[in-house]
Amino acid sequence: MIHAVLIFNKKCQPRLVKFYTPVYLPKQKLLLEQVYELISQRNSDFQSSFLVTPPSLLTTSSESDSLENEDIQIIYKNYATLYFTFIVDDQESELAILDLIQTFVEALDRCFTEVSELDLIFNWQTLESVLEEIIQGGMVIDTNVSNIVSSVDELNRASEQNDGSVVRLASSGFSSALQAFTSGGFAHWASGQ
Amino acid sequence: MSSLYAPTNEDVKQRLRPFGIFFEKSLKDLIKGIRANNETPEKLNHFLAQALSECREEANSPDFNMKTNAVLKLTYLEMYGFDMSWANFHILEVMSSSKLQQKRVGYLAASQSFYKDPDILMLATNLMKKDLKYTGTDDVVKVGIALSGLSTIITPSLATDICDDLFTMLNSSRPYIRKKAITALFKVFLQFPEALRDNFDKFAARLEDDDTSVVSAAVSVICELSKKNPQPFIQLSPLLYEILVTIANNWIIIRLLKLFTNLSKVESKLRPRLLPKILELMDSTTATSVLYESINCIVKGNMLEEDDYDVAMQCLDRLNTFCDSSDPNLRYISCVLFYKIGKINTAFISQFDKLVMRLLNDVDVSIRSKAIELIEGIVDEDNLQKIVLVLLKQFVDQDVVLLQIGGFETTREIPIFIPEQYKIKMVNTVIHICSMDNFANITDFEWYNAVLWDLAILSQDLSDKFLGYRIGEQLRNIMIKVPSMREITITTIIKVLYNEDINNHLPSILKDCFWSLGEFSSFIGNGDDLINLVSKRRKYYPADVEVILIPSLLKIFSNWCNSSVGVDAEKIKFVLLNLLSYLEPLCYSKAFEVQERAVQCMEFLKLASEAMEQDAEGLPLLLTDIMPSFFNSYELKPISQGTQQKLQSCILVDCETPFLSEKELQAVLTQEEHDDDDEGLFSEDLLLIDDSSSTSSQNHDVNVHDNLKAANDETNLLDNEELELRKRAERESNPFYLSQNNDHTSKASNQLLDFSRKAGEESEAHLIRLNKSDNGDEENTERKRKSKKKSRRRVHVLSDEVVVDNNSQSPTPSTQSLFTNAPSAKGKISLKIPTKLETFDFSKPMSSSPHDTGSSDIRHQSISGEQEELERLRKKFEAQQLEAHGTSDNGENNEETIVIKKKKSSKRKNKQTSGKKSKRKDNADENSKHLGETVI
Repeated sequence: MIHAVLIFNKKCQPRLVKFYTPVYLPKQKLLLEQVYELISQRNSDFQSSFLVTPPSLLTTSSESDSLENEDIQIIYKNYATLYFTFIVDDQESELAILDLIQTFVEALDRCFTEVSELDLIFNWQTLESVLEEIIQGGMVIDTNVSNIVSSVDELNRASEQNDGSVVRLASSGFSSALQAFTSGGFAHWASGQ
Repeated sequence: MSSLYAPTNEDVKQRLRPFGIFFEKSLKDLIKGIRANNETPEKLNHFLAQALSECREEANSPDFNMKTNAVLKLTYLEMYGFDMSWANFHILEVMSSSKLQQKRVGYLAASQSFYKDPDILMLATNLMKKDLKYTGTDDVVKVGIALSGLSTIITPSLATDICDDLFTMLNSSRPYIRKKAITALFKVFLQFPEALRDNFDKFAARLEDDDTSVVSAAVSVICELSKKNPQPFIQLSPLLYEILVTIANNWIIIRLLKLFTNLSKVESKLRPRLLPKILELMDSTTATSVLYESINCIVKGNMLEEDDYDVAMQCLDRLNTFCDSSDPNLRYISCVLFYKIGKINTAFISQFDKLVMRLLNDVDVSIRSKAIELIEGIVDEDNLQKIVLVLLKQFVDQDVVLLQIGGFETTREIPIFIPEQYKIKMVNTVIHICSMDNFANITDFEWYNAVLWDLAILSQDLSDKFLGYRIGEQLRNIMIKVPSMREITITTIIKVLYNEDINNHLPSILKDCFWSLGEFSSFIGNGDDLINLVSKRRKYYPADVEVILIPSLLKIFSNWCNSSVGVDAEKIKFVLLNLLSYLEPLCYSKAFEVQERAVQCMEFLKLASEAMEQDAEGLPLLLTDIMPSFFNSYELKPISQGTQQKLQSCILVDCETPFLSEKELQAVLTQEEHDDDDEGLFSEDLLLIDDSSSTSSQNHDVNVHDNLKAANDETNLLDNEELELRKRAERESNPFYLSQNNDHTSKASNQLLDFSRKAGEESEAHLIRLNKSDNGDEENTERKRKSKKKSRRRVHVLSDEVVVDNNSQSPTPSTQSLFTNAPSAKGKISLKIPTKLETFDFSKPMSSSPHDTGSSDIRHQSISGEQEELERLRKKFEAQQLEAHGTSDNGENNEETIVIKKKKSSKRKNKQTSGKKSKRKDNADENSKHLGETVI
């Protein structure tokens, strides 16, 4: 399965950190830094997409049960200023993961039309949404770009309908007290922006 | 769908605000702020801290939008390492919102944060169950959100609670829901394997789903599960095989291959059916990834047998072409697979030496690094020197590789940074391939000496100090094992000793160097110069080197003052003083071992020096007799690593049976009368050795010196005999001597110990002269006997003495673990998900009641289990309380018991108010109460 997806730029600024296997938060940050350190030394033009020397956080010492993280692989791809990094175990095919990263980026590209790092910086939630339609709990659920994008669209659209209906209900006076409260609060909050 | 390919502005705009129209604006503000304050870490931290406290305020707001917004920002800020588990309750509130977008934010945050706190999950369970229900128009989205969110946070109790809901969803009319439900079930099964046992058919039916995405999800889940426990899925093999044969989707084929790898590992019967199909697939597919995974499946699924050259070659030929690909990824993974095939049978890959050599010069260092591992499989006598040369050439900081770009004419020079890790690996590999199988690949030890010298020079700058030990160990090993090369090897060792840089940067190499110098100090003509050099240097080595150095100095001294060329007494006095002044500070060493050895040595030398003062004529007995007897009792033979440890457990001390029976005693006594010597006090070894091993040791006990420039020296023979007698006496009185048949060893040991004391040709190796070694007569006769056995190898390498049966595969305690500064497991990340699946017994009879009651049974069990646990805790604390009363009437203890009663609420309180004023405490508590009612 896929244990984590890390997206960061060439200055080690995180753009997306997603762990599907629970990892203590400070360790997540440390791991990101270690992975960055290792990847940034590599020349993406000529070198493979696999991190051969694992970050020290993932290496197992000879004394402890050494098989624990043995099958963990770190696979990454570099797009312009960004690194897309997947931490996976041996049940994932290396080449398939590379394809998956490509699919992910293509899906993003279609969402943003000509995606750039800036798009992803300011639309982190879209990044999360697209990833959510590709990977669920560490398992790949879709690899078809059109399906992924339309699922994201459907999610976004559904909310709109829902919001619309709430507003409509509220305006026609049929809303429950709670709904009125929330939509009132919503308006208040919106005007504050 | 067509709009997807040419999205309108409206579409794009919509996508960019997935969580509601206005939310992104505020998150955007945060992001803008982060960007604006990014100049220094201090400034950024200040800004983030500020943003965080704002979020705290907002999260407490009764306004749901503000709360949602705060939660969203907090979720974002987790990326920067700010824990948000204190806001878990707010997240739960947001999750329970009736607005889908808010719910979405809630679930996203929950998936990131809830795993830290099982308490909040208990509260969230009912909400999740509600969200998984399918009631209205927008429910597909709602259920989808819930499924995505909970997939990462499933705990055992949550798994038992929601598994029925998930199974219901497998029958949903929407493939989207089926796909997500089946994926969510994976984590459920990990935590609650009973669900899989009781609903196996229902679950397996999804393999035949009409929708490929559902089949894909099902295959993926089975694949993952089968890694943890393949047994229950073997029965699905025919169905899975059907899918493999019929399906065209490469993604699913790859998954199936992975799945079959897992199954085939435990079920060898699959091989005959699968292997032909996979080979066929290899021929028919056009996708590289499928081809690669097919080979992977054959190799990792134990389908490649040791003698199946046919299949192996089919795989290797394909990999060979992959290795020539311009895609580094393909080269890399093929290289890894090559290694795995080589591990099955080294003979498979031995013919690919050219390929390996090519990969060793790959533009990608990580591929070189993998290729290095392949060397072991292809190395032989003939190509060893070539390979080592290739490796040694790479000890530069920047290598340059000529790469063809595009057309054939345009080549580019690409500088490659050679990382230190790789250099360390190279040193280790060179040592390994040279020394493997008892130096089987080495034909020229002079060359190997030169290589070791090069390695010593190169390793100075590397951070892995263990390399020093390894190189030193090699020098010591050839010193011991290759008698004919001792002069050359000792020259190398002296060279190392003289090199200031190595002394400074790689002192670990000196440990074995000093040992060798001491042990073979009879080779050294002017030991005084060597001693003076070391003592003059006044350099203090690491403790483990000094431990060896002290006795070595004594050995050198001993051999020097007793060498057959008369040494001037004044000179000896001078060296003695030198030694004493060198040892003196060491007597105060912090290292216990160094201190003890220094003191012992020092006391003895003091006695010797006093004796010299008194004795004007000649040397005192202390120096001529006693000192050599410390060291020259018997000759050391190589034993394999770990033998000593093994021996220790083999020593049986038998205190019952007398050493000698009455008869034997008589025999000994009568024998003793014949002997004039005072030997024979112990005629039986205290050490019990396996019969088999002692016989086999005789076989090894043959030493040949083919290459010795034999010069017979008659005069030595007499000395030899005398020495031999003394040695035998000592040998017999030493219980730890690895004894062989006496008459046999006397022959063997002769050859090795009795090098002439005569200073022969002086080979000027940095001022230290080497004694010429001579061989006794026996040598020649022995050689005659051996020459038949001798193959083309010029140099004889002693093999390890067999002391204990090596059959017992007890793990040899590796020196590796002693020296590699293995970082402790503490502080590492473990990506292993705790699961009960691995040990779960699927053969257990299904509960007679229908599955839903079956699982609810377990639920009851777990509840009663919880109560038991609670009861146990209560008792424990009561006991603690009693104890506390007994020892002290500290008020704190009383308080503790109160806290335990209200544990949950107070814990929550603490979390919510961490770093907050107490004023907010009530507020938050009220909040939680309120929600606790609505949600549960």
